Amino acid sequence: MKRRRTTPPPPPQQNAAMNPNYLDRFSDLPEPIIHHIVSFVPTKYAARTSALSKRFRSAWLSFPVIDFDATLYPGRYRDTTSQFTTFVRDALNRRDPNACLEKLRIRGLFDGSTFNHWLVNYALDKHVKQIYLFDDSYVDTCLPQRMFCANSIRVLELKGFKVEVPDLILSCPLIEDFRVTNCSGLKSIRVSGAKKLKAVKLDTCSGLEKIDIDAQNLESFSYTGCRDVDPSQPPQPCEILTTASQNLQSFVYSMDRSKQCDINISACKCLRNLILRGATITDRWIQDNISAFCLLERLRLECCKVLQKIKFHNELLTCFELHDCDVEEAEIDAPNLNSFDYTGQIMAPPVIISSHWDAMIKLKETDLPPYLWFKKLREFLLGFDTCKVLTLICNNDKELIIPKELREQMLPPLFDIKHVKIQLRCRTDLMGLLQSLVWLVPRPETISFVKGSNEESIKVM
Amino acid sequence: MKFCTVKQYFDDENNNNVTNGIATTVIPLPNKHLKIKANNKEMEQYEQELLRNVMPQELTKLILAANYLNFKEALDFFCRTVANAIQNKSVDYVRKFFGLESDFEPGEEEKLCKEFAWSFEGVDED
Repeated sequence: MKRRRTTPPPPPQQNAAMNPNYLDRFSDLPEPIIHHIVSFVPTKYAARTSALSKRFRSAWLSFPVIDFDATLYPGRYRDTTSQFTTFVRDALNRRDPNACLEKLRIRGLFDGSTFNHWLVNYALDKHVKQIYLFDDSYVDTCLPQRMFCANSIRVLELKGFKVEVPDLILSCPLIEDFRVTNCSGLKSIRVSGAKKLKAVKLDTCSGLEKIDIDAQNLESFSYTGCRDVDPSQPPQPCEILTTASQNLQSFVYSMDRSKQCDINISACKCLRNLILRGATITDRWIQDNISAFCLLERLRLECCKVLQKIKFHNELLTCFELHDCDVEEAEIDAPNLNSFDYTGQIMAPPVIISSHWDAMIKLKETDLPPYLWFKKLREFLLGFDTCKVLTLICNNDKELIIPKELREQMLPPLFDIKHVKIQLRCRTDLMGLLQSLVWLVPRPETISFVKGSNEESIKVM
Repeated sequence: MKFCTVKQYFDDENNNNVTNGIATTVIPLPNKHLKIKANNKEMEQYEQELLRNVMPQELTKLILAANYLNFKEALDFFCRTVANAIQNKSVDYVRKFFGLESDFEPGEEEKLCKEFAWSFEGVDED
């Protein structure tokens, strides 16, 4: 089959010799530029450049990035750990011994401390700046301690390993980004002297009892998940300290299983985003801390079961989410609040002081008798009268169809609301629902029904 | 300041690195770059046009010029264009594209292809 050429044929040999700008030949590009071009080619194809010519082969063997993901080659390097480790050893041994290394990123089956030590020492001896190691094997192998105080490292991301010393101290002076996922054997993590550290992310590291981050330029911190070693045992209590991290902007604590945890972030005056899920914070903690975060914009509290009466004031807060916290009362003085999302049982009507806010309510199933449910629902909705758009999410429209007798006895709760949206899983009685809605919201401009991404609106004249 | 080396270029008369033709392509780039900075699709179209109008040899010159002028965005842009052009192509195609010749001993190239077998799977049609 004749190949259709869209590019012009290569210049004949004699032109190159006569051409005074012989440096323009592709093969004579300086090695750093060849590296730069190859850096834009995905690793899988980049290795092929080594077969172009001797020049390119030596450029590839001194390429400062080692990026190998065994999951991209199923059936080849995923079957046994020895296949994988042999491959990595061969690849690294083939490299130019004088070439530096900027980034080491390997995902595969690590088979033991000997290999891990060899690999990390190889990289650290070449002053590597970024290390990403992901172990997909089911056996946790150890990493050398040397990695956690190496002078050259800026990014360190580890997944699926075991740490030799349970009390880890991270003291890489240039570290900027530190992420640990699914690593066992850790009892405490202390970060000190890390002036450039911007992000810390710890995920599913069971057994952690204390996290102490002393990093004045830290911007985001996240501690999530928890693969319990023994689900029948109560989880270890833990303590998080971020005393010196005054520039922290985002703090995320999210646990699947609630455990006693002292969260001390009162020094983080620049906090903008705060997410707490499964945290054992108290009403007092909320009152003391939330009001003091002057730059806070988003607050999300989920499954914080110790909370009973939430009360705080915050000038800049725009989004507040309260999900599954079993709270009895809520008083939120937030003049800039734009949205309030609530999931849970009916509680006392919340007191929300804001001039322009929308609300989304998702009510949980109840074992209250219907008479009581509707009374309490009406009371609860009184707290939402000042919002602009109210979205109600229910399972069944029966939860919103207030019986006629009750409607005649009570005053409608939402006199001032202009826009209401209803989202139901199943709708059985549209007429009844509409009658009830028209009572709940006596002066609407629009009533909408939302199902998935569809929204049907009724404009009321 | 992007063009600190431009002054140097004009001062330096015996300059082989940047011929006039190249200068006319590279220097208007900052304006173009600023105009279409936010729009990825336009950048792709410009890239396609560039590839059509410019011989691969020219691309090499453009890369060297951008490097000499210390113009990072242009350098990244041209390098990325080259990278996209050769991404999943066969070794022969890339050699022809850039006018390269294999200088390997017989059998050496085969050995290399075997060593990097994982990289040679699923090559695009030329």
